[in-house]
Amino acid sequence: MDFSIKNHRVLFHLWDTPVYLTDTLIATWIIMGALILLAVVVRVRLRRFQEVPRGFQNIIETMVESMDNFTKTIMGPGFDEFGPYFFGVFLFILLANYSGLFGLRQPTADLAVTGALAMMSFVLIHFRGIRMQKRGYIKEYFSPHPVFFPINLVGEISKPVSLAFRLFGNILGGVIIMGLIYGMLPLALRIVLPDLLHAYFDVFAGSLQAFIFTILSMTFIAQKSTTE
Amino acid sequence: MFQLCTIALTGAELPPGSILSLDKKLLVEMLVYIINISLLTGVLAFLLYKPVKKFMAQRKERIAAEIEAAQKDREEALELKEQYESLIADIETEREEILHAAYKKAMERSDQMLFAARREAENVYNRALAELKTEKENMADEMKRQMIEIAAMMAGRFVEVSVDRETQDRLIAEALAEWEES
Repeated sequence: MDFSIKNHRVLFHLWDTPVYLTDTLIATWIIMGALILLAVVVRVRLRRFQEVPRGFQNIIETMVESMDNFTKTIMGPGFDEFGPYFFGVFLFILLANYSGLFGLRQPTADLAVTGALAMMSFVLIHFRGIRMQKRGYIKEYFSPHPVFFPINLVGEISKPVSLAFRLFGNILGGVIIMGLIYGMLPLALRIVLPDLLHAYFDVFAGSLQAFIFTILSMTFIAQKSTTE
Repeated sequence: MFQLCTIALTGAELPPGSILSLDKKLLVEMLVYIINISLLTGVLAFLLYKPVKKFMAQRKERIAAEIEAAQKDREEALELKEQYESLIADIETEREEILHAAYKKAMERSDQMLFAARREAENVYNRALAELKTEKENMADEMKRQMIEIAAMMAGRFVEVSVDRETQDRLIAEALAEWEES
């Protein structure tokens, strides 16, 4: 049983390192395509949006409003610009986690994807922290005493690492377990029996991990932006 | 696992796939995914999130403006209602005052009329009493006069019958003497 991410062809080289067209990249592009298509459809239909939302409009408005409220609740006031970013990230992780239901290799079961997401959060955490705290940002690493600097530094580095590995580990765990179960079951039983496990590993755990990643990133950014 | 989207382009030069590799390739792939995810979040933000949020904000503003206008209209209506009620109350008070004044005036007029009537009646009564008194006096005088006439007539008859010429002259002389003395 092979759980590895397959390389299909070399796309280009970057710093003498080949970039491959992998299962993950294909799934990522499919998810991106679906989401961009949704965005285009919304943009086109926006002119016909009614005062009283119904059907499709209602779903889109609920999604946007929920994320807007969620950002305000978790991060507090003054973080409105993060709403669109986390909307995109949350939808991407959610669809990436659900993509296993459609036979795709979940992009979030690849450390490169979760690492990229965590790195983006890391950059935002510190970029926003420096912008808001200015001198206090550096001071925080030596707080409460300069002797704590290494611990504080490790604490900061561990944030993206934990974000990336938490998401990656949970989703990869689901992929492996589902793979083993599919491998164990005779062909006739593969149709109905794994449904409950898919509901748990792909839908429940997928939603939960998307939520956890988003909420933790939001919290870290808000924490780092608060001047003491 | 269902691998519906695998592309059968695997060549001999391609390395075998891996689950986890902490190397330079991971960093390069991370950069590729950062670009992809950034592009996706950017597209979603500019095509979906921001326009929908703007639409919702504009609608919220419109509804808020409508609510504000409705509240203003309501306040104006309430103010008008208060004015109307105040006017009604004023009219009621004015009506009461007019009624009261009219009643008072009517009462005064009535009193005046009663007083005048009473005085008139009194006058009539007094006049009647005076007339009655005058009439009574006249009647008494008339009776006296008639009694005198009768008495004189009776006395004349008596004298005519019982007193001779000589006596008559003497009596007349005595009467004349008395008058002269008085």
